[in-house]
Amino acid sequence: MKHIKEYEDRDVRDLMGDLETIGHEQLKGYYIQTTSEEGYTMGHAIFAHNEGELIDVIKQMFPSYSRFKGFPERIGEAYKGPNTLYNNFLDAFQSWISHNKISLTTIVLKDLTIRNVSQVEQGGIMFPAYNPFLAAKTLNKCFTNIEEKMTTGGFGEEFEEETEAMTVPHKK
Amino acid sequence: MKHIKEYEDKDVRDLMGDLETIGHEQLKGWYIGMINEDGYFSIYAILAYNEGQVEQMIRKEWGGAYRHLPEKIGNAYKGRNNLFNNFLDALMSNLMGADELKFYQIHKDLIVKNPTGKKPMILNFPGYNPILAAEKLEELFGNIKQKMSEERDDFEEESSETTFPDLK
Repeated sequence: MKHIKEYEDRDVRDLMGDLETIGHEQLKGYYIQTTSEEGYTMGHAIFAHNEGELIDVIKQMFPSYSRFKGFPERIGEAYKGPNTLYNNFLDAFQSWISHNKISLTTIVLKDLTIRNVSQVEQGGIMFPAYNPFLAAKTLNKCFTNIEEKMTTGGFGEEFEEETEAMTVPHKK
Repeated sequence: MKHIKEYEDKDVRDLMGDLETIGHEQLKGWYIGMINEDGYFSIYAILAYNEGQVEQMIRKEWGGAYRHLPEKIGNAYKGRNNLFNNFLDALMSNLMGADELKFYQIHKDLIVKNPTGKKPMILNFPGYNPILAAEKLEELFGNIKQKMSEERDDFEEESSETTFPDLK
């Protein structure tokens, strides 16, 4: 007779953490949205096992960026941003592209859960972000927790704050 | 005994069209997505009875546009370098020409959801968060998702997928 065993989410996360410590890394999800000098807004869904791989994927997805002066370099355990050191590459990268106006507006999200992770390879998907419906659909295809990430943690409040309604009396 | 009568969508649209011809206009929707000179992506969702009212509201309420409002010449509108047969196209041409905008997109003929009790209005909200922007647009317009999904070919063309199997 077979027994069905139930595990809490926490147990599964602990197990995944244990596997990472012995070299079985999980593919992790990141999202970077940029707006170029020309006003072209692009989404980049990125899948990488670790920070080193994330840097390599970013260098290949944004090939011209790594040739710009000041592209974040590793210094000991830190990464050099425009005016300060950061303890991870992504924060230094976000600060660098914003500071140098390489991207006029930037959104960076970490800790995204990849949908159907066993069928995904390290790399990324790049898509235009000016069409909210198609961009949202692509993001939902890539990540299971993107809706939660983009509606909480200040995003929802910021959206409401920046929303303004102007009603005018109806003159026919 | 009461009878239930069924009507095709087309019949209802025809009836609405007939009502418009005798002055009973429906509230309609317009979408303007734009990226300004600073790269800020904002959306204007407009609810109005007709294009004349859209023009009236923008002239009155849209502060950022006032220096670029097109002049009306007969039945046309004077854009920066051209005449247009409608106000919005002329306005957007002026804003692009003056480098106030880097990008814009207009969708007309949008169906307003639950129009009863709604008033003509301009709703301005950020477009840079696709999840929240899509949610807000779906609250307002019945056919916006379908309209914007028709751009799928362009979207696919501008998208690319890259895997780097050798990175590890």
